[in-house]
Amino acid sequence: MAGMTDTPFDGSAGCDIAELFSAYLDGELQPGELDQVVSHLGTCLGCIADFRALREMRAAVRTMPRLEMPEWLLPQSHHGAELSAFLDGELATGEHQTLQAHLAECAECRAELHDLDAARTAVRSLPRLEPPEFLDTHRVAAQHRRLPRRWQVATVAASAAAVVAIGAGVLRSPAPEPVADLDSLADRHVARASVEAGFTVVPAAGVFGGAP
Amino acid sequence: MNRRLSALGTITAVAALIAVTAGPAAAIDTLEDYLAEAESAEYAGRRIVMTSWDGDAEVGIYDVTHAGDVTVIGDGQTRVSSGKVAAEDGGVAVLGWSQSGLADRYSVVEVGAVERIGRDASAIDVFEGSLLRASITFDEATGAPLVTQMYDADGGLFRYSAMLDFDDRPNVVYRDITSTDREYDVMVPVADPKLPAELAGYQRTDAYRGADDWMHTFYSDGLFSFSIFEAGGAVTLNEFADAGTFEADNRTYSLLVRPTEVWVTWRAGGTTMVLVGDLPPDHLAEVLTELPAPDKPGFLRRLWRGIFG
Repeated sequence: MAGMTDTPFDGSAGCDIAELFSAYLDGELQPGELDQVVSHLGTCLGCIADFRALREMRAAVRTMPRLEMPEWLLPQSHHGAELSAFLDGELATGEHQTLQAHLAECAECRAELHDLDAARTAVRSLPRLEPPEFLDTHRVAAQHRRLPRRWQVATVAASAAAVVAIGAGVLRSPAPEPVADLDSLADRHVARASVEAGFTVVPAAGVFGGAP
Repeated sequence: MNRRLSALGTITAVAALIAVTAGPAAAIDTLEDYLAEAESAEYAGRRIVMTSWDGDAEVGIYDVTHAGDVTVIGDGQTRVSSGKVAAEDGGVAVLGWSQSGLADRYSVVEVGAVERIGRDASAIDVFEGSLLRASITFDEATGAPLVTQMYDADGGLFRYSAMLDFDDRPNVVYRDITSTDREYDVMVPVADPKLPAELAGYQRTDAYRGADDWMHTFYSDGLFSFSIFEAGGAVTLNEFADAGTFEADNRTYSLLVRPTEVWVTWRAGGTTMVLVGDLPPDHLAEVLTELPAPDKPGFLRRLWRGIFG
């Protein structure tokens, strides 16, 4: 603590390391930079104060109500390009929230998201098949030059049969149903019910296997 | 299945009893006073909650601390405040809401002074017509609800909630229970909810949509409340694997009974629907019959059930 009190309390002015605080909170620092920030925060009161202020500001921003953008500012907005990244959880936090708010209002994007998710689910559920030799493009190219016509007909027939087999496989093995997290639904119900006048909350301990 | 403690709310008695539209004016003022005190009460203790349903009973005992607008449950990992639930692995917040008043069908009668767990208290009864629907006992010193009893249409007790011990001077540092660094999943209000504005005397107050596209519609009659969740397509709910059934108007639903609430799920027209709330059995049946009916099982499913049960 003696080292800390020796440091003048003048904010982080003059400390270049303050530039790394935001990246630190985002978990984006390299190991060397991380050590620098942690070490510096142990000694510099000014940076500690600024760091706390930054952290609290970010926390406050996260909990602020979302402002609706006037419609005239986004007349034709469509987020189709971001939907795939949204499903993959690859959007940054701000982009995720923006898209989430947009989805609440845009039936077209919701429908596209639903279709995209359904298509991806269907693809994932397809049985893994090894390509038959006749579909090997290199061999086909070579064989086409020397196969007699009856073999070409057989090849086409076999390809058709493979397509039918894959289709039958999909029909026999429907895509697995998505699984809902009932805890999440419970939290939403409680969050809304908590604003009812006179609300008295009790937990459903053990509701889903937990224990108080 | 060792899931975190889920703060499932129930209005164990005291739900929105403001705006009483029946009963004498004096009772209205008194009730509002009760509720104002209950909301600002500071206390801690253990609460027992029991729900009796179709001959079975589910019981839970919970450590509860209430200060300001925050309720802390158990070891503090679960905290509920106005419009927010914070759990150890995240949180949920609703953006905006509208208040509902007590439905016209209820009237409130003051019972008077009583004593519970060695404390002076005041009791009120809530009637639905001539049917006693709820009895609530408030602590005289703090205003906290000490005992709540809810009754079904036959006059039987279907939910009981009571403080087992009570500390009116909890060791709570308000800052500690309100500060949080969690990020909340924000539930955005929906402007054009599809479910009816009224269901069996319950008013639709708000509807929200989450990032996972579940539509959440909230209903309240001022005493009981419930949420209906809708998701497109078939969704698996593992917790219902061993659920019982609930019959209403020749329709069959999957039912989970928990100490503080009941869950019902069914599929209707390509939509998975989930209802959760603290409403009594007769109200639940009335609500369900006004919602889309469960899909009838197809021929193959009926054949399968006929052969294998």
